[in-house]
Amino acid sequence: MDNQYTLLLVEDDSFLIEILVKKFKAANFRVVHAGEGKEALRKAHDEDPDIIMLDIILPGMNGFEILEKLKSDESVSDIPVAFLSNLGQKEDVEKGKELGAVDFIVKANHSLDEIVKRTGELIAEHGTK
Amino acid sequence: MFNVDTNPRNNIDTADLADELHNLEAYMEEFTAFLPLAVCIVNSNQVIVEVNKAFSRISGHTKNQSSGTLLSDFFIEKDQLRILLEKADQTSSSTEEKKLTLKTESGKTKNVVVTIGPRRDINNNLTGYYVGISPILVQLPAAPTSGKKLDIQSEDDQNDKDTENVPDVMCVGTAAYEHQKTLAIIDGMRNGLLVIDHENKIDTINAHAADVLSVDRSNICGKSIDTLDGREELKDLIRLIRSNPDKPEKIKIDKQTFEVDVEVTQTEDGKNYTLVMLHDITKDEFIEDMKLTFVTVAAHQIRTPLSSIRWSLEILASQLQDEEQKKIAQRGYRSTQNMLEIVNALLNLDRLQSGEDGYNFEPTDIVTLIDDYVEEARANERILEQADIIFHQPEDSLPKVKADQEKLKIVLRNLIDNALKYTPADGTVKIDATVHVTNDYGSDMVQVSIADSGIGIPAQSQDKIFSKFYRADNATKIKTDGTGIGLYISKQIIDEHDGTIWFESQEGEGTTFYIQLPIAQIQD
Repeated sequence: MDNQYTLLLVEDDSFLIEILVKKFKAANFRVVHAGEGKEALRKAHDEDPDIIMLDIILPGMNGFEILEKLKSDESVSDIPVAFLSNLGQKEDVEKGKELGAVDFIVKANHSLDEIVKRTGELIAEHGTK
Repeated sequence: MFNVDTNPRNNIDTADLADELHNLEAYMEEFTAFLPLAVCIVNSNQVIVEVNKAFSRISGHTKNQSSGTLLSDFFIEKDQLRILLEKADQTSSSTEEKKLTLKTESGKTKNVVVTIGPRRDINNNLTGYYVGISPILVQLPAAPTSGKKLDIQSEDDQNDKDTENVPDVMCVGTAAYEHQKTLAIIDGMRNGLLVIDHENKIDTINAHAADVLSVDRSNICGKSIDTLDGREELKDLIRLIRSNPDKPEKIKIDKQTFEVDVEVTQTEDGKNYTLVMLHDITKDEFIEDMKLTFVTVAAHQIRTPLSSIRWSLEILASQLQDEEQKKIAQRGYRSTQNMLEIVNALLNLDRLQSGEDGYNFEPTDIVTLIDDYVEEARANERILEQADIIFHQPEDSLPKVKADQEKLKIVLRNLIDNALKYTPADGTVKIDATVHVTNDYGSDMVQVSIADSGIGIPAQSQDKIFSKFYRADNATKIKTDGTGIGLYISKQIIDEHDGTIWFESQEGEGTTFYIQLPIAQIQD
């Protein structure tokens, strides 16, 4: 399909991955998954995603560090990145936006439908393709 | 007392002189007897030769008992007294003074201030001592006396000089008492106090401060604070003292955290004294840190599994065909959502109460905020059965309100969620936003109303509805899992906005909540 979007989901909780992948696939997304930072950076290059959804608490590099690396690499710095995390203190949200995230979605505050919908909106607003 | 030859057969001059001396002696006796200050005269061997009535009163020893006794026998601190007498001998003129403990005849002890001045003959040879003893009127808690500055001195010296050789006894007593009291208070303080004089020398240090700085009180007074320069752990403190900051600052000394307040005051003689207060906040910091860590960890650790459950139930509820199974999944979804709300409410409460979240007011379009949340709330309709939300968008655009967006969202969320929670699925929640024109001189407000057709608030609960953890009986019956925090937080937030929140309610018919917020001024 021409209008299929690619989502790079960086998440380490296998159950959440399963649910999210299922939901996004049902909404006609191509979903690529990475369980930690290095894999995420590699896939950001190789898979050419339309958006990256990033958890914060991950094994190895945390989400903020991954975002910094993505933004300092010109070949991928244009890809919109949104946090999808259960951290949600004001400081975290501010830090995320400062580092260049386009949104900060607290998982627990949203239904899957909302998250899928919001992801589509973010690609429409910030997507570069 | 004076050995004078009064033989009338001597020449007339001698007789006159003898008379005069006799009168003088009588005068002196009368005078010392009248003096309320206890005075005794001690010879150069430190033996008492003469006492006045006040001395007998204070010590309980009669004149006869006292005469011929070593002065030091009347005091607990024998050695200190002996040293004091010797010191008075060496210093040419001035008096020596010290706080000592007097033993009375009845076996009790009294805190007194002993003043000693040397007696000398024409050739400046020591012939004995004048000793004044004034009581310290109130027994004070034992204050350490090792620090030089903690001994009674300057104030009373000053008094002596002012009044020449007739000391004002009451004045000395009161000054000594006040001085002692102040010292006892300073020393008993749980805060560290350090006084530094205009020459950068340590003037006073209380027990707590000496402890914190690990210095010996008995010899640190009078030394420059520069002597502490080599101490790495005191670097921040010394820097702070020298920079004299306007506001208290937090610093570390070893592993403890202190809030340090530096104040410069001027004494009457125009000299600057620097007061340094050390307030130990190690424990508060630790607790604050723990709380923050707990809140962050709790938020994350509780939310993560709840998200999984919530999303699983969301998928189930949307895919199950069997009506009964679908209902069970819906109920599970709603419970999970409630639980997440409770977690969020508790986190909000904690942050609001700790005052950690400052308010960031900016001109805010309240209609957009309502619209956003209404849309979010409606999204649940696909999964849950809930009342319809009707938002009457105002025809003309409303002026912006002065608000903290994040905080205002919490209020709108609480009010709209409440309305949905307590309204049956076939009911309605109507939201309106208008400009409220005030009749008097107050400025106009933007008013939002959220009207539901729910269970209403019973009359007897209406005055308590904004209290923390309060829930009305009828609410507890149909929703056992609320926290009673939402409206409390909402009121706190609206109050911070200089706004108003209130409601009208009829049990069984519904409730309307109103909020009014000030319109943002152009310069806001």
